[in-house]
Order: sequence, then C-alpha cells, then structure tokens
Amino acid sequence: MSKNNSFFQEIITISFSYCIFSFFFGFTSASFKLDIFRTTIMSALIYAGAAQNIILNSWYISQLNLFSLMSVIIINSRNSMYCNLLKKKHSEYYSGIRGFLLSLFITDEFFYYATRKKRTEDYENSEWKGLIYLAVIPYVLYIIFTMLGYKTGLILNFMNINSVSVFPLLLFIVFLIESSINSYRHFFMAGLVVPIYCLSLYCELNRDISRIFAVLISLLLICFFEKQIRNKNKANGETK
Amino acid sequence: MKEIDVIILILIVVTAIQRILPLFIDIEISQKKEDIIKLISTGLFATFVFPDFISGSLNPLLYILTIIIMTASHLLAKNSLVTLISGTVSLLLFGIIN
Repeated sequence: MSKNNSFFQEIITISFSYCIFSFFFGFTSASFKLDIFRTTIMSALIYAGAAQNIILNSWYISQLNLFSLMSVIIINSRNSMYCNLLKKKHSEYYSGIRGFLLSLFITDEFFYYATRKKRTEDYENSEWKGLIYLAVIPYVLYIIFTMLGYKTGLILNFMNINSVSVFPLLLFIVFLIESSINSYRHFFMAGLVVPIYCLSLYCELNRDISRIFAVLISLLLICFFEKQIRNKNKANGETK
Repeated sequence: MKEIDVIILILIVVTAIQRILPLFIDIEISQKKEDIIKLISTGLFATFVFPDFISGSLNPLLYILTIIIMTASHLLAKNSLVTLISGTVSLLLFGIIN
C-alpha cells in the first residue's frame, strides 16, 4: 500500500512540475505568435523543455540558424547519456519494448526517479513496469498543459511579452542546480560564460561567434584552474 | 516550408535518434568527455537565457523571487504538498509580475 502511495506521489510530483513548465511554454509560444499546431508538435515530439524554449526564443528574435540547432542538439545529448547509463546499470529491465518506451520519454526528472537509491536497491520487475506509467502520464499531461497554456496565452495576449522571458531563465536555473549536484563546475561555467558573452556582444561580435568564444574561453579557464588546484594539492601532499 | 518547420523537423529526428540510439549501440564515452559535454551544454544554455534576463524590463526582486520559489518547488518534488503550495504561490507571483 505504502509502495503504491509513494509511486502515486512520484507521478503527481513529476506531473506537477511538467504541467507548470509546459503551461508556460504554451503561454510563451502564444505570446510569440507561433501557431498551436507547431507548439503542440514541439511538446509531443521533442519533449525537452530547454530545447523547445531555445528554438522558440531564437525564432522569435530572428536568430534561428544552424548554430542554435547545434546548441540544442549538444544540450539534448544528455538524454543519450541517461539512456546509456540506464541500459548499462539495469540491462535486464531496460530492454525490448519497455526500454524503447522509456527511452522515448526520458527526461532529467524521470532519470532521477528511475535511478533513485531506494529503487535501485530493491528494484523489482513490477516496479520497473510501473515506470512506464511514470513516463507516460506526465508526458500526456505535458502535451495537454502546453495546449492549455497556449489557449491562456491567446486569451491574455495583452500581456507584456518581455515578462515571458523569465521562463527560459527559470528552466536554466533548474538545469544548473540539477547539473551542479554532482559537480560545482557548472556554477563556475555559468558565472564565467555570461560576462564573457556579454562582453563579446558589447564588442559587436556576431552572436554565434560570441557564444562559441565565451563557452570555449570559460571551458579553458575552468580546466586551467582545476589543473592549478590539483597541482597545488599534489605539491602540498608531497611537502607533508 | 518555413525555416522554423525545417528546424523543428530536424530536431524531432535528431532527438529521437539521441534517445533511441543507446538501446541499439553501446556508446562508450569516458567520464571526462561526458563532463566536458555537460559543461558545454551548461555554457551554451546560459548564453541563450541570461542576456534576456539582463535586458529584461521587470522588477528584479519579483523576478528573482519567482525563480527561487519555482526552482524550490521543482527540487522539493519529493513532497507533493510542498510542491503544490509553492507552485501555487509561484503562479500567483507570476500573475503579479505580469
């Protein structure tokens, strides 16, 4: 009974956060005057908040190009990593049609729930079957709330469009915190990349070149400082 | 076909491949490479969202407050009641901002 309750709680919590995210995606999309068909198709077939918002924002500010597409593909590559990890760790359960369905619906939150210590310690076949529900129910709600958000956006179309840009930022912060659970470097990356990017824009560099420049410089700086700290620690260890 | 349609179409295909490919092929990526890809993702994502925030014309305090509450609601997802309350508050705040 308690197992059912906790499972039900997992479905509610994942669904709730998805509902908020998809609702605001639909809302933003309506404010940006993208039609409902494309909006729903994006939610249903791409099913990745960050990717959808970057594409939507880039399209809105007429910056949609191959670079934004490549960026989204790189950002989405973590889905491949999640699938790979699930397959390696739980090959007996993550295979066949079940594995295929779980792969299609994989997200950051789903991955978190699927690999929870409690679950992986005493996972049972029935519980892994239950994961399909955990993947499918939030997905269906995600699509429904995208449409609801879109309709709401249309009704309230007098709202200030600028205010909608809070949503991609919110998504990024969630993404950053989730990434930083295992590594502090993501915080440094975000802290370094933004000023460098803004500085390059200020120097009137092209947006895409500025992005590449900012990311590479930040990456190099992080690697450099990490190496320095590692060498320092090593030197301290040797003198002791 | 519009530019956005082409991009959406490519993205649908690539995302599906990215999700399904590991089922059929063993992808061997070292931890170091994985970390670098994740770092690059964070950096790229940041360049897409932060300038919007910097140039935003909103009340920064409410802006940040909403973000904190919505993030907390997401992270505290272990407790659905907390999620429900904080989510409702954040939605109300969003209404105030607008």
